[in-house]
This record gives sequence, C-alpha cells and structure tokens, in this order.
Amino acid sequence: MTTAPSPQFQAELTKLLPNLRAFARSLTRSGDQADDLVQEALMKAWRNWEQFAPDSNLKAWMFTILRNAYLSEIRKRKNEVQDVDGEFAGQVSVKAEQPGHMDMIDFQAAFAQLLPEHKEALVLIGAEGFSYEEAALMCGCAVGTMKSRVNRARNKLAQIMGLESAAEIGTGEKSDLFVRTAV
Amino acid sequence: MSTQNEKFNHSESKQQPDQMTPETANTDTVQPLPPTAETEIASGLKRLYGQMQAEPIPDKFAGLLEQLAKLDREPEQPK
Repeated sequence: MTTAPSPQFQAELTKLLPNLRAFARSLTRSGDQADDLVQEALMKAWRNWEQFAPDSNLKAWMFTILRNAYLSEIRKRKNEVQDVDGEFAGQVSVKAEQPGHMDMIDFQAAFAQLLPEHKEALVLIGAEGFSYEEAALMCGCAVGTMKSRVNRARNKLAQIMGLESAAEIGTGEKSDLFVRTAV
Repeated sequence: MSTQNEKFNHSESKQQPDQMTPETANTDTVQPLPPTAETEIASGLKRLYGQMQAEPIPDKFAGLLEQLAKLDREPEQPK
C-alpha cells in the first residue's frame, strides 16, 4: 500500500520551484518548454516520492528527475539540443538602467554559445552550488568529466568575452576561485 | 521513462548518462584562467541565473501540487 506524500514534502517542493524553473530554463529553448518540464518533474516526484531517500538531497533528486525528463523529451523530439539561437540567454531581459547591463548582455551572449553539457555543468556547479561529485552523479558521468566540462566552459566564455588566458599573462596554478566565488 | 531509476542515492545512482553531445576527451587540457577572468565569469553566471530564480513563479505550479495533494486525500471512487 502506498502512502500520500507528506505536507512537508509538498512544502519542500514548493521551496525548490525557483531553482527547478531556472535549471529547466537553462536546459530548454523556451520558457513554455521549461515550465512543461518543471510540471512533469513535479508530477513524477509526487508519484514516486517514496523512492526518495529522506537522508539524501531533495534538490539533487529533483534536478535529476527534471534532467531525465528533459533527456527523454529530446529523444522523443529528436531535436537539436544546442541553444544556437541563444534563447536561454534571451529569456532574461536586462533593463538598460540596471548597473552593468552591458556586461550582462555580453555574458548572456557568450553563455548562449556554450555546448549544452557545458552550460549544465556551469549551472550545477557555479550557480546551484552542487559539488563536482553530486553534479557528476546527476549527469551520469565521471567526476573528472564534470571538472573538465566546467573548465572548458569557463575557458570558452573567457575566449568569447575576450578575457586574457592565464598562459598569456603567466599565471601559474589553476585556481578554484570560480567555485569559491560562485557558490 | 521508468522512475525506478530516479532515486537519488549516492551509493547507487542510476541516472541517465549524458546524451547531449558526444564528448571526445575526458582529460582536462585547457589553460588555466587568470583570477580576474574567473571572478568575472562567476559573477556573470550568478547574476544571470539569479535573475532567473528571482522571477515570479506562476501560480500553476503551487496549484498543481495542491491538486495532487487533494487527489491523494480523497478516497478512490468505485467505478
């Protein structure tokens, strides 16, 4: 016999909505698609809530469900995944009066050019604060692969945005400043 | 999709492996970035993603959860 999810589970899901929506929008090509994905993930989580281990990370569990739903959708549609039109970045409107809005536009345009798995790695590690181990688990890849994706994504962004490489200015060891700053 | 595979457990993860784009190399051969570039990228990402998170959440999501909870509370009607 199955039991209904607790009110606490419902409350926790509600709290995660902004994160789920932002993650979905970083994966999909439109806001509507993202909302459909969030809705699907919520329904799957609700139906299968007993599979969630209480001592584990609900956010990671939900992100995994959402990501799996996204990949299933891709297979269904056999669509091009790459956000070649920069639709993810274009979903965020940057008002002219916002401080640093030109920088933000540059960043959006650069971010839009990244490979999907690189965007995902940056979002999970740099924006959501997951550990490399957690992100690798969610994405079904090795920890080294996840680290490599983050590094490649950062370097690609730096290249697009015209930031000098460390090699050119003689900087030494690779730092983890990105993680420390972003999380 | 089987949700059996979605249980998030660090000891036995069965997540769908990456199927986005093929990755040719797993080794990290990229150049390190200067700290200023890392800071700029990190803050840009935080701002972009932060804006997404700050957007108002449509009521339909809370409504969906309410509806699911209500369905669970109601006894199943005989057919």
